[in-house]
Amino acid sequence: MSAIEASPSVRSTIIWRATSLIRQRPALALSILCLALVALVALGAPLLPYGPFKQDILHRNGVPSAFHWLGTDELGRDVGARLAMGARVSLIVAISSSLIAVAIGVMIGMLSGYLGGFADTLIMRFVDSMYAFPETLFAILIASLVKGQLSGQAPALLEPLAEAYRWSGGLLGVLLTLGFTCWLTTARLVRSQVLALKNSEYILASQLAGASGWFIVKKHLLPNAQPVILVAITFVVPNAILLEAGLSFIGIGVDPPTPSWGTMIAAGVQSLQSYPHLLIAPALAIGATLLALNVVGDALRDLYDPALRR
Amino acid sequence: MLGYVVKRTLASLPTLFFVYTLVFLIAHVTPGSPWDIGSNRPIEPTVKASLDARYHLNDPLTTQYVEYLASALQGDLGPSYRDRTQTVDQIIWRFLPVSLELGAAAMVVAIGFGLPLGALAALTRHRGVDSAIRMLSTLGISMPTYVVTSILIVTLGVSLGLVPTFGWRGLFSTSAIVPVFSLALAPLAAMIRYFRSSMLEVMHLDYVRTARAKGVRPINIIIRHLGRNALIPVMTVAGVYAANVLTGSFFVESIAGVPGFGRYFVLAVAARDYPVVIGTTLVYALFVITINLLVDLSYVVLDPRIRTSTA
Repeated sequence: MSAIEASPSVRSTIIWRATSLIRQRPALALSILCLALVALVALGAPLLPYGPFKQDILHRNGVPSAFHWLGTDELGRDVGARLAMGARVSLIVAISSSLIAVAIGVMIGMLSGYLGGFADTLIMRFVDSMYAFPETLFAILIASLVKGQLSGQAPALLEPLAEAYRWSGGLLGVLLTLGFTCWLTTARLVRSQVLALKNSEYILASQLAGASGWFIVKKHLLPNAQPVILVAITFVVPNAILLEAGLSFIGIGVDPPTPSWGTMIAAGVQSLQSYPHLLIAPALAIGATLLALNVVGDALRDLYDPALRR
Repeated sequence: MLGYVVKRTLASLPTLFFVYTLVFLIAHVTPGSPWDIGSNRPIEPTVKASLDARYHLNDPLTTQYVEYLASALQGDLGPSYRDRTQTVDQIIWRFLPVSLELGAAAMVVAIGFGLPLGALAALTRHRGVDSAIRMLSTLGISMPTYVVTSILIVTLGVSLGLVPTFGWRGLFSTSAIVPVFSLALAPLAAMIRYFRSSMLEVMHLDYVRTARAKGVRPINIIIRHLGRNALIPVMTVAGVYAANVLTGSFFVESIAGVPGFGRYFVLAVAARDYPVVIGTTLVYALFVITINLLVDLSYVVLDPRIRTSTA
């Protein structure tokens, strides 16, 4: 009973601290506004007057005008509409691939920390060795592996996945790649938290009362690791967006014609000399989004992790 | 000290072995053969068979795994499939130095500007200068290198005409300004952020107060007492970023037209050029391991307490 009563007051303290933090930091308010705008644009993308694939052949590489606010690209497609669709891709990536990555990381971190002993040594040796594998190289390799397996004639086992892959325009491949790439930090953070919690008295009491490992993980470790998981998410989300754009930039991310900020930047680089506006729009979009995410992430870390506050 | 280095070097061998195994598996599980990618027409089956035979691609994977490892241990990273006149060793010698130069210059800029700015921010805590520096650092951490590179090229190159928009004429030319600065920005921002916070941490320690009380000049306190101790956590971060800068220069290289190694790697992955992919990854992993070793050694140099515990 007392636990139920305690939680609203804890929550309201957090909300109170969050609002005071927003009041103290104008940049934070601005960042939240910016992220809300990106989400709004992503959700409202179908409502825009021009579709992202509709070509206006007479106005190719057009500079910003009253009809096309951000101009048109080399095929006469509206840059604004494509940016909005690209925001969708980034939003999907931010949410689903970080969910995958954090889920993997939490699972492995919990397992490693809770089991301890040989399993822990083995898992942590694996994670440490993965750090020697440059992240960008690993992501590129995994992306081309996933793409190769799913885009050609997939084996019967993978056929449903391949179907989803084609339907999503290559996005599924990116999500899987990022999920497999970005879980390392989460696993480390969660493991160290579990190690710290494992020897506390209430867990010992729970064990003595005959609680199963799963019960302890669910009732004690997961709730108490929440701040750490949140901190991990603040690291994973910007990283995932950054990597998605990078992979799409190289051409192993989202397949054309689906617009992604990364592919738009790559196309902009091609015509950099003559039509710099094609590069500036997506570059600023991703730059502003990542900046806002980092400012909000900093604030969340300050809010939930007093040890990191300074 | 020497014993420590030897021990650490030996301990990194399993890591290299792990990276080799992983990259070998990934490369060979990826569908497609080196011969049918990049050409418009399907390759003649007899030609494909003889190419496979020549490069031992028909051997069981275990045999290929052992044989490549054996030759890699002797420093021979194999022939390139895509560029059949060259070996992987030759390709690495041709492209890697440019990437290394670029990465090293970027790290020098990052550390050279990052530490003073971080110290300045810590010393002027919560004042205008501090906020400005911190804003700059958040900006630097957030901006992807390809965004920085493209914006710099558009402004400095296309609009102002100060630097060339494409190409590489060596490290000491105007063509290096944009690539070096764009690569340096993220580690620079990180240096500022971490050095600031670790400076703030040591600032209130007793020995600093003692030094101040006995009348040590402020500049000496900052450099010898604060800086030296605050540097240790920063070294870790610098190591991580050095590895990233070395391996992540692909975007900068392709936008600014630098003939470096990152670009070659991506082309090799697309072409299923296994020896280049595996060889490159191994070389990069070696770099990461070496950098980590150097970082750990720098702790020993910086902190006498660690020095005595390892000796």
